[in-house]
Parts: sequence; C-alpha cells; structure tokens
Amino acid sequence: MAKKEVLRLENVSFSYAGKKEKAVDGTSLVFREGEFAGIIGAVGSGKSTLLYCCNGLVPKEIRGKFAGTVRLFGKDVAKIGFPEISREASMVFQDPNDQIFNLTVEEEVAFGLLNRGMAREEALAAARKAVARVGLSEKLHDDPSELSAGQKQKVAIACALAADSKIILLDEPVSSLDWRSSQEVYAILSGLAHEGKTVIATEQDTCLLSRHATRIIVIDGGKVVKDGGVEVLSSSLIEKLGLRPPGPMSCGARK
Amino acid sequence: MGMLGYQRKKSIVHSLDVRLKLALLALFMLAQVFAPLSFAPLFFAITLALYSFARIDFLEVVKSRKALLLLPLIPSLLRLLFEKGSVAVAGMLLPAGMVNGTLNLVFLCSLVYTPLLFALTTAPSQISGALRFYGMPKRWAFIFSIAFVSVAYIRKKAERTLAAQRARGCRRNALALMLPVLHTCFRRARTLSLSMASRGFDADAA
Repeated sequence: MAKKEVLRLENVSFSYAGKKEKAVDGTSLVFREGEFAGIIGAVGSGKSTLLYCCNGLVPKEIRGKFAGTVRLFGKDVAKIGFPEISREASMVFQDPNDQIFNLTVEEEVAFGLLNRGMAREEALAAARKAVARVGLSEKLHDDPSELSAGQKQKVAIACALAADSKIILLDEPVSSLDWRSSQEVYAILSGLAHEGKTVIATEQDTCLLSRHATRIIVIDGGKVVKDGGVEVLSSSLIEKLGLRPPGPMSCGARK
Repeated sequence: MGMLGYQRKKSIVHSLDVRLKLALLALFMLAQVFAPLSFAPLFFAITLALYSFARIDFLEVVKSRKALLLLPLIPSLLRLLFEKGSVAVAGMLLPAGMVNGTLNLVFLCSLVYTPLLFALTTAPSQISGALRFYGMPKRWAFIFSIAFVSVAYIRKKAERTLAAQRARGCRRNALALMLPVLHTCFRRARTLSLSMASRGFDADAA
C-alpha cells in the first residue's frame, strides 16, 4: 500500500532576482511519509534552492521568478502562512551559527513553539525532551553560541524535533561536522524516518546517504536527472557530476 | 564579553523583573536629564551602588569598553577648556570650566553606564517581552533583543577577521575590517530571518 503523500512539487522553476539562469528548472517530485530522501548534486546545482521551495521560503522570503506549485499535505504553500507551514515542515540550515540567536539551548529550541502561541512552560518542556533526544541535556542552560559545531547542529535539529513537524528539511546538515558527529546526526534522522517522519536532506556526503537514505534524488543544473533508490549512488552519473561515490571501505555496511 | 554582553550572575539587580527594571531605568535617566547639574555626583553614586549590587566590577567594565569613555570625556574636556567665568563652590571661587566640566563628566558617565548596566544584567530574550509590555510593536521589540545578542557575535567575527588579515600581513585598518564584518552581518541577518520565518515567526502577529 502506497504511503501517504506529504509533499508535492509540480513543475517548480525558480530563478533568483536579477539572474537569468534557473536555479530550479521544471522539477516535479512527490515525497511520502517515512521517506528519507537525499538530494545530491554538485555545488551550485540547485539543491538548497529546491529545499527552500519545499517550505515556501522560495518565493515568499527569497525573491525571484517562481513558477509551479508546492503542496504540503494537499495545501498550496503559496496560500498559507509560515506559522502553518512550520507546523508541518521544519528546516535545519547548513550553518547553525546563522540560525542560533537565543541565550540558552532551552530557549533556542522552544522558540518555534512559542511562536505558535504555546504556553511557555509547555514549550520549555517540549524543548527539554527534544534536547534530551539529541543527547545534549547537560547543555540545556548553556549559551548555544559557545557550543562546538556538532553540538550547535544538534541544537538546530532539536529545534526541528521540538516542532514535531511531519517533514524535516535539512540543508547539508553535517557539512561542518566531524565523521563521528555526522554519524550521530544521521542516526537521529534515520530514527525519525522510521517513526514515520519524512526527512529530506541535501548532501554532498554520499557515504552517509548510502547508509541511511531510502531514496536518492540527483540534481544537475536545477533539474532532477535521477530519482531512485540507494543504488543510484553506485551509478557512473555520480562521478560524472563530480561527486565521490560511497566507497565500501570507508562507509561500512548499510544499517 | 561583547560591548553589551549579558553577564549571568545572581544578584538583586539580575533578579529584578525586567519590566520594572526598564521602568526604573527610564525614570532614572529622565531624573538625571532634568535635574540640575549639581545633582550629578548623587546620580553617579547611585550608578556605582547599582553596579555593586549587581556584583559587577565597574572599573573592569570601563577598562574593557574604553571606546565608551569617549562619549562623556570629549564634551567634558571641551567644557573644561573653553568655558569661561568662575563659580563659587564651598566658599571658594573656582574656574567654571573646571567645575562644570567635572560635573558634566560625572553626569555623562552616569548617563552612559546606567543603561549599560541594564544590558549587562538582563537576558536579551527578556528585553523583548518587557518592551512589548510597554506597547512597543512586536517587530521593534524583537529587533532590539536580536541587536543585543548580535553584538557579541559581531565582536567575535571582527576579532577573527582582524586575525585573518594580520596573518596575511595587513595592518590595522578600520575600513578593511569594517567591510567584511558588515558583509558577515548582512549574511547572518538574511539567514537568521529565513530561519525565524521557517520557525513560524510572524513580526506582525500580536
């Protein structure tokens, strides 16, 4: 039985203001419940832009020429506000330093919940639970700007967990992390996908995706050039795009 | 510690309700502005007492923020150097420039360092709530609290940029430092706003 559709992109195209070339070009994709989709592509291929289209940041916050429709649980993202979108889809940006601004980890994680109008005590309790999930309970009252890069990224992921949204969008979530922290982050994401959440991550590390993702989407020049299972990572296309295919020695067995 | 960096401590001043602190700060500032200059030493003494209650070393604060001293120092020096006449003080006739310059210095120090104490003893996340309590629109209240938090971030970025420039043989140059730091600030502001929007923040909501 086909799993429930959560996100649909219909012929989405986008070019940034002042630029002629399309960052996303006629992309149509459907994402379902429980999927762990990895979007890979060379630098500048349109991965991040595609991700921003998924939760309406493009074109609501990022100006440019946009065409097509994005539907979140059947609702057109262009017609609903961010408070409603954020209940369904959370985003983790590439650099956690650019998204952390509160004075304690607890307040940072509770921020999104407070925006929804949740009572402060309830929001803080949810934040504590999410922080425990990523293994940072002892850092709850610490200044997040003083944490290590891996810890900051876990805080950013905790923000997405606390929101309890059904879709989690991540833009190269482990790009500034060491191998161990990267594996920890991906283990958390895998767990979320097993719980029925939809995880969509842009990534350059094909190794991690080969171990955790259930679907691989290859982007080149703003277009989807391949969309399939993990076996896509072994195809010659990966090397042609300048990406490193996952090696058996360094990646180990798939979990 | 940034220019306005919040210092987490346990003190009477830290534990005061932020709304009350803000109101008292506003009243204190107004009282200073409208009171005669001769009251300046009294207000300055109160400022020093508040620093003591907050368990923050006033001299350390002054030393670590030398640039702030220019604000009270320059106008007071001008007064000291150019004001003519004499004033009677405790039965003695003293140069007006010296007396008024000194009082002016004390007055301006109090004016500068009392609001700084507020920033040092108040978590930025609480400032937003207090400003909104007094009727400031959500958008502006949030701008203030983000600005407070961002000062420490900007200072760190400036230090790193300076270190990177000096490692490449560049001498201290304010413009060469300012441009990359400004660029970083704008980039951070952009991504921060995207992050806040994706977390449901609505600046115009009640």
